[in-house]
Amino acid sequence: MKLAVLYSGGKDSNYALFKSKDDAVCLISVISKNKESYMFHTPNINLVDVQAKSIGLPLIKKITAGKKEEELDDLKDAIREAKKRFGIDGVVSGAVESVYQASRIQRICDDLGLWCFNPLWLKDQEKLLIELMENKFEVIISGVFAYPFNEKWLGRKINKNVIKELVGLKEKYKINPAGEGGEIETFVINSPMFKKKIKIIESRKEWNGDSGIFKIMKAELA
Amino acid sequence: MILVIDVNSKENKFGRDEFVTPVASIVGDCEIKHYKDIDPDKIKEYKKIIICGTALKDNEYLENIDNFSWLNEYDGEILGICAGMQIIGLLFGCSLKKCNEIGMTKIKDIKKNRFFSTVFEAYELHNYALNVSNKFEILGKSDKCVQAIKHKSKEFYGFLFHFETRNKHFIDGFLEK
Repeated sequence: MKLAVLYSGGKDSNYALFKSKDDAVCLISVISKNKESYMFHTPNINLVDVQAKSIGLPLIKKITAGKKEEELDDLKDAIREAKKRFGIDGVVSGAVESVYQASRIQRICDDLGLWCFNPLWLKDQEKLLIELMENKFEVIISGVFAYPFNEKWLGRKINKNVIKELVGLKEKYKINPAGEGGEIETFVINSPMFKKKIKIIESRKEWNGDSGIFKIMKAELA
Repeated sequence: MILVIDVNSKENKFGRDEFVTPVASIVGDCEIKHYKDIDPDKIKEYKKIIICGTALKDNEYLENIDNFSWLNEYDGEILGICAGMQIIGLLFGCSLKKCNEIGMTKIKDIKKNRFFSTVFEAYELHNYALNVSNKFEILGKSDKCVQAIKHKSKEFYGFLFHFETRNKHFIDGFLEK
């Protein structure tokens, strides 16, 4: 079976790719100009090219204005292109909890006659983080968007201690440890799928009072 | 022991991750088996059984309904989810009709039952619904189709919606007795 993986560069899409590695023939990234997009906005999405290069899979990239529902047409176009160019049988997403994202991807695949796979669907979030560590994923926190996260979290690499802290926040503040409620965004700098690790050359923390991002200005393959 | 049945085809490679494991983790102590690996002579060892759903494109189970003929003799409790509800229905006189629902849907309670007692929203992912036979009573409906049923003389229940996504607590109604 030939599969396209919806790829944002974060931990979930990278883990979904890892799970479907035997069948993945291309990556699809939709780059939204709208910071409020529920579907696609991710800090450092501009670096998917570098990640795709390291993974060694072709990348279909679509820019969208990010208008609600219209951005789905852009995603549909990208999936249609993957079907035409690579003859895909299905699409893999890293959706874990978001019914909003999952149902929209399901509808597009249904319209295009494609399988829709969500290998992380409803997965326990702490278990998901632990599995990433066990499989040697190197993940940094690239954005925080909820209390009590602060600037210090930006750019932190997820390890056992960070997972412990995140689980502690779940108990105290009802934070989803893997950020499924949009509390945190992540960026993968290395995984079993990467031929070379991503080296961050230049970055800065952008903090605006109650949320912030770790912006990577320059990165290269190590 | 509770048995959780996987009805996904081999082609649906993430079917167990997506449709079975989430249900099994809500249930807790249970055994998972693929429907083709079930020994009808041993099925009575399980007091309760859950038959899980599949991906939209995975309809292989419809070609293998005979694999579930053990349901006719089974006297424990069964909860069928989506494909599971279709299987239970097909074995007891129902037929399938095309009905596509994807995403959150409002469901209205029709008859008092163990699971819900008011209007609620649930996650849907199906291409078919049931024309319900007179062997069942209808417990819940959406605007488009029947969403929950109970066999009139057996403790066999069916949900067309995926309770494991947003209505996890419904399992209490199945596990409580």
